[in-house]
Amino acid sequence: MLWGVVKLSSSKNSTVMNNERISTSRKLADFLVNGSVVIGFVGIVIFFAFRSGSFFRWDNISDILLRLSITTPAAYGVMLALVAKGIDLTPGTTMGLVGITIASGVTAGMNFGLTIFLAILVGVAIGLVNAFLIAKANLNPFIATISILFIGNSIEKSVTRGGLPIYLYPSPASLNQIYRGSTLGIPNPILILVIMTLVLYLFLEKSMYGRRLYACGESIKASRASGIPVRLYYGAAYLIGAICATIGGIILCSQIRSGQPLVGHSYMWDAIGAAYLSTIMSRRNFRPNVFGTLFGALVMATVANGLTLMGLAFYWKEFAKGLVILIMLLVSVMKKRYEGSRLF
Amino acid sequence: MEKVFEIRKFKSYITLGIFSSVIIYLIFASHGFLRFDNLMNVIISATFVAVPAMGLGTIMLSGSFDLSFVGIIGVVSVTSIRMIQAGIAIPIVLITSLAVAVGFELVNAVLIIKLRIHPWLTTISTMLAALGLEKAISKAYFLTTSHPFFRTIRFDSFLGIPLPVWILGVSFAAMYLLIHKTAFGMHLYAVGGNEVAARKAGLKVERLRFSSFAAMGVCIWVVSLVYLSQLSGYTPEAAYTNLNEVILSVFFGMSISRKNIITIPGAVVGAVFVALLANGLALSGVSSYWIKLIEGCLVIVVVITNAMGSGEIVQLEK
Repeated sequence: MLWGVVKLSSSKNSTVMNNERISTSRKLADFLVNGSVVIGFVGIVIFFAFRSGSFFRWDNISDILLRLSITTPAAYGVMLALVAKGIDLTPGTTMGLVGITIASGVTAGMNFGLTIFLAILVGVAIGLVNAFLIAKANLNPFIATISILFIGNSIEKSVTRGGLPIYLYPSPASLNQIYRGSTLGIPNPILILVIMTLVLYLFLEKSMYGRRLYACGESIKASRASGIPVRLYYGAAYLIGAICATIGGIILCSQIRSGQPLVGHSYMWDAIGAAYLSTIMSRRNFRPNVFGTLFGALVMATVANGLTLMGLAFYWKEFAKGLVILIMLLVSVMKKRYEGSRLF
Repeated sequence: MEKVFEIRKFKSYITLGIFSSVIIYLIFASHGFLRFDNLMNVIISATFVAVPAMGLGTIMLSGSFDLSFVGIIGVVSVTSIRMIQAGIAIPIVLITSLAVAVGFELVNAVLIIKLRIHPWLTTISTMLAALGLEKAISKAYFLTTSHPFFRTIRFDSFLGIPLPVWILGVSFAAMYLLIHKTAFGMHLYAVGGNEVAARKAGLKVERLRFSSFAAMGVCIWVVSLVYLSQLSGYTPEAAYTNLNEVILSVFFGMSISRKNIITIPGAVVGAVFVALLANGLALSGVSSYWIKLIEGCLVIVVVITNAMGSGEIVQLEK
């Protein structure tokens, strides 16, 4: 709606533009504007490459990719909530609770498969509670998930006696395999990430269910009139989102070999930032999408990594991260303005 | 239709019922809950949440959002401490910190209103930037100040009531009059309700929305004074820990209002309720990490009863 106003306001000078012949300079401008976010990202990468010699070393790049395999699942969870025109603040909590479940299960000497099963159950439970509160009880998604965030955080603290991490010495081989092992020469977390991305892409963009989910997000009334069980789809979005975050939590637990309470909190803002970047980058009107989210997570991970390599204190990293997102937003706004002036 | 109306009439009583039954339970369960100094303590701790909640409520009712205030409170506080340490006179410090607070919020406003970037995305990034800046200025240390000005706010009282409570009272009165008793406030509601209609009716939409952000800036400045005096300094991310409570208070206020809109008294009542709950539970010996769980559960119960009869899924952005 907000964007419509801009389009209206910029419609005055548009008739002049429509009459112009498409020239080479216009094509160049099109290219620059359409790819502006990507170009900005490339600029950041080049900047880091000049500032630090080890940025382009293979082990550093694989470091970024491995970090990506933890933040992206959480970001997918937020993205699904955005498709349903809501917000999910719980992925971090889910990741923390899953990690604690696995760590305490392993410490209690449980079978590893059973532990993973229990962890997935925890994730599914959080997803179901979110789905019930938002799709069935008509709560505001923001306040529902922030309450679940409260509840989950305090469960995490109570279970671990006020926030003591549960360390795994030694951690079981099968848990280690998830993060450190590799299949067919590809590290397992990357493989999981690729499979997740493909499955979600096929689900959202190529299957009937995904199209219907987008339709529900666009208009509840229209979808209901065409016979879509809207509440079911809204609930499913939050449930699948929680399962995505659960997978991220399992990978994280395997990486840090422990159950850390409140560990997911630092991933929450990254996930939300990545998911919103996908809406900004989309060609259609602010539409959340899978590959945009992956790219958003890549931006966040690269910025964090490059600033660490430059040896900045952690607070400057935080400052720069905020600034980089802001600059990308500004660029994308320029892009939208430009497109608005072309269309009308 | 009749039935829905009945439920709506009923539901604000449900919220009030839960509210008062919890308070009554806490009166019996916890020792010394009703003592005057304890109640004053509750209100002082509610000030940390209530003042930013009034500002956030003002921004939200004009149809926008702000997360970055938690970072800006930090930036304003540590800047004032650094200036006091450098020996600058207190009036100049106060004026500068007010300018910093309002300036930061106006940056948000330009990004959201002029450039039309999504409010949450804008303020997430400005929040991260401000939190980083706050720690960059303080080098992530606990900065202390024992300036007589802040000692006065902390320890003195006027007519037997501590000064921070007066700060809350005066800022509440000012915000209440501004939002609910002037044409300006009504115009803000109109802008939040339907921007296009407000523009057609001849309201200066952008100026109104800018001034809602400026009001938040003033609220940030006021609460930073309370932080500086109550903590005798500023711990990094002290305000960030209150972010959830602030957002919650605004929504709580919305759920207890008859017309389901954001109100200034509602936000303050929400903040006082959260503070009362935390204080009463702590006094009755509940461990601090269970308090957030009970807070969360109660809020869900309150909001579920509120959502009864509305009958449609809530979409955040249309």
